[in-house]
Amino acid sequence: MTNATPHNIKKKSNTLTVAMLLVGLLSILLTSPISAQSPITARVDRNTLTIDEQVVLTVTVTGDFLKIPQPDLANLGEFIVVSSSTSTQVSIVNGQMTSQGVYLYRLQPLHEGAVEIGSIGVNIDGQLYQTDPIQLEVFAGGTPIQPPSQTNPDTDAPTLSPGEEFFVKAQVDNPNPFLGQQIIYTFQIYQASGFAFGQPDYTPPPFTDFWSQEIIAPLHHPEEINGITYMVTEIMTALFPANLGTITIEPASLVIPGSLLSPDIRLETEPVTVEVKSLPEQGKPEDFSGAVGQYSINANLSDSEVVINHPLTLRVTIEGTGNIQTLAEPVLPEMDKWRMFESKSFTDIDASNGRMTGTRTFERLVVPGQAGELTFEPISFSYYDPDAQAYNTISTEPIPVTVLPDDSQPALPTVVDFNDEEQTVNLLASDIRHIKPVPASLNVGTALSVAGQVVYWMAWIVPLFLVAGVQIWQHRQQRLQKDPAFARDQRAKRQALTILDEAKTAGSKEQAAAAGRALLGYLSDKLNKPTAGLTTGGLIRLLRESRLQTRHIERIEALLHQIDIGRFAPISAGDAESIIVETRRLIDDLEKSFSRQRKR
Amino acid sequence: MMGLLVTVSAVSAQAVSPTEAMTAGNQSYEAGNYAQAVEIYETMVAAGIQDSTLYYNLGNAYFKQGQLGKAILNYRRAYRLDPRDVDNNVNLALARSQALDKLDTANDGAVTNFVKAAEDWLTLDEASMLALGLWLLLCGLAIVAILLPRFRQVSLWAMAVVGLFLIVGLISIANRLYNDYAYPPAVVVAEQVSVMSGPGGADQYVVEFDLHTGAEVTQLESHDNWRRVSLPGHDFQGWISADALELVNPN
Repeated sequence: MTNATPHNIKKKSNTLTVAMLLVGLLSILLTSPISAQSPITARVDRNTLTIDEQVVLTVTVTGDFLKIPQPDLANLGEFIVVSSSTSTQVSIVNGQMTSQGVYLYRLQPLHEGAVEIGSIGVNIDGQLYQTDPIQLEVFAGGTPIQPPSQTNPDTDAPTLSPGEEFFVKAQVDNPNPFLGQQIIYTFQIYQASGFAFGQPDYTPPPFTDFWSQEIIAPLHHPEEINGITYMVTEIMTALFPANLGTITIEPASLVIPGSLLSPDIRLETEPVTVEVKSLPEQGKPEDFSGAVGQYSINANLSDSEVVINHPLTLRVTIEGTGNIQTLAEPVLPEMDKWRMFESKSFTDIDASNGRMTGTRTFERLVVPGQAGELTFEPISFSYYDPDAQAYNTISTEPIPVTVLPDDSQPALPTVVDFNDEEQTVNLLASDIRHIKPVPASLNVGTALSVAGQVVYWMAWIVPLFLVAGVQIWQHRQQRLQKDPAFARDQRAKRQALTILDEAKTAGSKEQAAAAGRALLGYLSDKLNKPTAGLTTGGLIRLLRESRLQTRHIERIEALLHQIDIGRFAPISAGDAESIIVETRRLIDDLEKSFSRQRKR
Repeated sequence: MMGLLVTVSAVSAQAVSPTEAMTAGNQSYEAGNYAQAVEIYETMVAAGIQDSTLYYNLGNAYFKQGQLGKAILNYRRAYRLDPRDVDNNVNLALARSQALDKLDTANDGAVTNFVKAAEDWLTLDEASMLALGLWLLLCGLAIVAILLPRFRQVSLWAMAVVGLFLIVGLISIANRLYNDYAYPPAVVVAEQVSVMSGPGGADQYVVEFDLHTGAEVTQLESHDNWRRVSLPGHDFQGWISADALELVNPN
């Protein structure tokens, strides 16, 4: 593996003078800000490869920034990026924040020969930091790869027998673990030459009976066996036994693609056997939930001061080495002054160093139900330490909280005791008011409210008609007072009929005379003319001028003639009665005729 | 008097009057058997009894059971029927203070606040009858103005004042009727519910935020088994499962 260091800390040592100068220079650099470790480093997993293979470039950016800057890959040279992945980690220790971004790039060479990955830069706060270029050797496809230190062009490579060019192995670092204890399963690929026709395909075993997590970034190193130098690639998987007893891990396989003339090569490892021990019963804490490893715990609340019945966020963090993702939440202590709500968990794991480490954080909302100085009691967590072979129980510190009364609640009442000293009534707790007794009658609900019913809106219309009627009546009254012709017209029929009604019990001559008064009075009122001096001829002329229908005028003439006969000649009671009847009918007909005429 | 089939125990059921049923519910509550009290009160509600005292007692029983969302829902139903019940308002305020989601409504301006104040004092039916009364008074003043010219000036001024109150009252009633129909208020009764960006699960949409039991929301629309809700006074809105909330107006 080749490490590239930045220009500003490169050192050389040829002569004593130069060495002394360097010592002096380094002493200056160590006291200056830029003497700190460079924020960017780059390395590759190999420095020799064939044109068919890929090299993994790992760029690490470290600093105290909130947002980790992206490295600049503008000077990759004769490589293209096939794939990339990123992992970031932010830690705060003693208030000092450290951020680290690890960028993995899988690079494919474009040409054979000596090629260079150029400087990789990163811009932090306007200052550019760069790595050294990295030199690599790219051979033709199928060329055996040998580490440069082992390469001797003057010596023939040893002859490889079938099965010696590629082979695989599998092993675990601890074949006798405790239940839940982490072990590392390592799959090793030994290759004496490059893969001629593409990358091999690794199929891991099913890992039944284990909780597994593959550890990224395979390791590469050369290894000599029987005079042959192999490039060894190790793919590691973290395993956590989930069952007791003897567990056999099935073989892992690797398929190396062949060509048109040669078939694929399938390689398999031997099965690996693991004997899983149970955890000791002696000393097992009551709250033990199966955690195995080494852990620490801490807890905090989102604020040290809160208003009663307002929520706080309780954050419990377990950090350490072990199966972080399956850690159960610690049981919270019983606290009647607090209400707890459902929790959420977050996991941050790192397996880059071959061990599963990280943090598991549990967050939940908690609500204080009483004002005053409260304490959130310690939270315990138990685990089994396989290294020490003992159970450990760790606890958080008690968390003091100041819970303020709610100002929106009514002010507490005060009472005056017999010594006339004013005292505040202390509200010990809040509760709902008690239920009510059964009312005298229970309301059976209706689907519609009053405003949704038609009857309600009909009730709004009735007063409108009332107001309109009053307005019309008032207008009529005013006209009756101001317009005599209208008044005479309106009362003409009523007065005429009154005269006729009064004449019912009179004698025959009086009835005829009354009919005459009624008819003439009616017509003079309708024509708005005085009754006195009105002759039959003059009346007929006025009626014709008023465009009354001829048949009505003829009936009037005839009736007036009969009335004159009745007034001045003997007349029977029957004839007088018929004159009254005819007069009444004529007035009714005339009323309708005048009414129609008025409308026209 | 209508009869109710109230299951008092697991093995016996008998038809009783609403008054007897509520007495049994109250007795269960007094004995600390809140679950049975809830069962009896809910039976009465299901039978069509909509009484503010019934909803109040039901809210209390749910509160004692720790079901904050159901408690707030029933206190609000009681509030609809009797907004001047001090006990109900105190319990509603206490239950709201224990809800996790503090949804403070924004200041909406003088007119809106006046309308809200009216809503806090009168039920919809009371406001409707008051508006009808104002209308009758307005018409009466109009008749006085027509028939009695010497009181015409006074009547017209009185009509202007009454008319102003009537207009505000009608706006308030229209607003309440419209909101009850178009944007009915609802309460989250699930312990916790995720508000999605669309009417579907997490496989289709993203979780925009979470609501907890007792959160008071406004329902905007329905789509299958999903309800689109908004938070009063906020721009937040999204979709939640229909069984996670209940409308305040049970009709």
